[in-house]
Amino acid sequence: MKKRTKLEKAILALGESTGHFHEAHGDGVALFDDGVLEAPHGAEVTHQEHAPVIVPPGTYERSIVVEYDHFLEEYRNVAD
Amino acid sequence: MIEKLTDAQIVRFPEFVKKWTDIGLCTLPADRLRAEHGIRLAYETAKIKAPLKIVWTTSPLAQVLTEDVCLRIHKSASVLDSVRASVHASVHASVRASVRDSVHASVLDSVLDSVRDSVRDSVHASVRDSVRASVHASVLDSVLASVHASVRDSVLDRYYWWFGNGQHDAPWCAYVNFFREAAGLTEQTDKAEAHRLITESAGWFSPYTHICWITERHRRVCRNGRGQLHSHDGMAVEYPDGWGVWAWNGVRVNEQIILAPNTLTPKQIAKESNAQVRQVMVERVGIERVCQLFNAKSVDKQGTYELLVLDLGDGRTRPYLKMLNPSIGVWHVEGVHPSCDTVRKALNFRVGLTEDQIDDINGADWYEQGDVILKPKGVAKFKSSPTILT
Repeated sequence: MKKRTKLEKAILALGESTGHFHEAHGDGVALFDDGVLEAPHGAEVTHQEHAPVIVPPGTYERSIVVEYDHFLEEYRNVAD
Repeated sequence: MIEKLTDAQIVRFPEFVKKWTDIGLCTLPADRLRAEHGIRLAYETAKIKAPLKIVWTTSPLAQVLTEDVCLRIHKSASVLDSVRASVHASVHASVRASVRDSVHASVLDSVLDSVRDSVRDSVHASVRDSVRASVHASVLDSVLASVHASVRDSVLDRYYWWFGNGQHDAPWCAYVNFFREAAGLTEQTDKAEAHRLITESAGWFSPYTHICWITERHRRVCRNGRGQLHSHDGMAVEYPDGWGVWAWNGVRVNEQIILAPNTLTPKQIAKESNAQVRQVMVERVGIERVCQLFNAKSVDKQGTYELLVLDLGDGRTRPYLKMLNPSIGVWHVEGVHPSCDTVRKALNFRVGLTEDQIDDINGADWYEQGDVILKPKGVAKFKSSPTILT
């Protein structure tokens, strides 16, 4: 089984057109390359435009909202 | 050893915020003599022979392209690492010797971290929040990120991140300069003086063994009330050669969206793959006109959500979800799976939920911020809507 890697920063998503990013902060917060966010004491998720989100202690799966491209006839993560 | 900032020092925060924000956003022609003095001093500080030539360019893009062409003809090694290392390591060591250590959980980048590690939490946090972060928000978040991204888009793989950021290094300089001028750490920050001179005088620079490229400042910077790059009648950032960044409320777009939004076709809007850019297109054209262009028919409504069926102009009609961004109050439209015939199914599709995963009584709470979703790991049932949505 492939060993997962802890990412340097808990940046959950990075905006291509704005340079803005969603980032998790908090004691012991760790984001891994498989998209799992560990927040043993909870986390605050910040973004330059959105209000912060406080999540309670736990382990989370990070995913990205999807949209359907009717021209390519496939769905994809929303890119911003 | 600095244990704590005095009230007299703290009261100077706004002075440094203004000074370095103004430098970072300055649109005056470069002070070439001063900048060239800074470059020579930077090489001297790094104990490297001064460059034979200092070449001025008219924009970061022009700098990248001329640098690329020249380096294909004449091999020359980048000395930016040496220049940076000599300055940052020295400043770091000197400041560290003068102020108390502290532990910081987050690391923004190696340079700032080097200085930050040398001060107490309270000193670090107050300086960061009151000086650096303010300048950072004004300069780095908006201007530098957009210019970097635009250069990257323009030259693709030929773009190398071997630049000093000149005036866009204002946040770091604000931080160091505060300790130099307000806290008296003169000797400890002497080696950052070359960096300060360049930052105060010009745009990006790229130092090599025999040559140093340096760029003029931007000649136009337009921002909205939130400090985001924004212009309705021209480039939001423009350099003397006419290259720059088109932007709407912080989103990089193209000239057509800014100057001629009425010429956008339904196909252009529907095919735009970047949701933020598409959102700006919808905003510029107007949601009502977009609905007219696509001969939209409303299928279902739920709060501010509306499921529309749009005519794609090729004989097909397909479902799209019209929604209001709760954070910035603008409409946007996203395609949803062809099987979606209600708002609820469309919302489930967006966040990867199926009907059998939804339990509004015993299901787990989950969270959504913009396009990012956090769901508890290993859980089978979820509530139908996020507990917090921003």
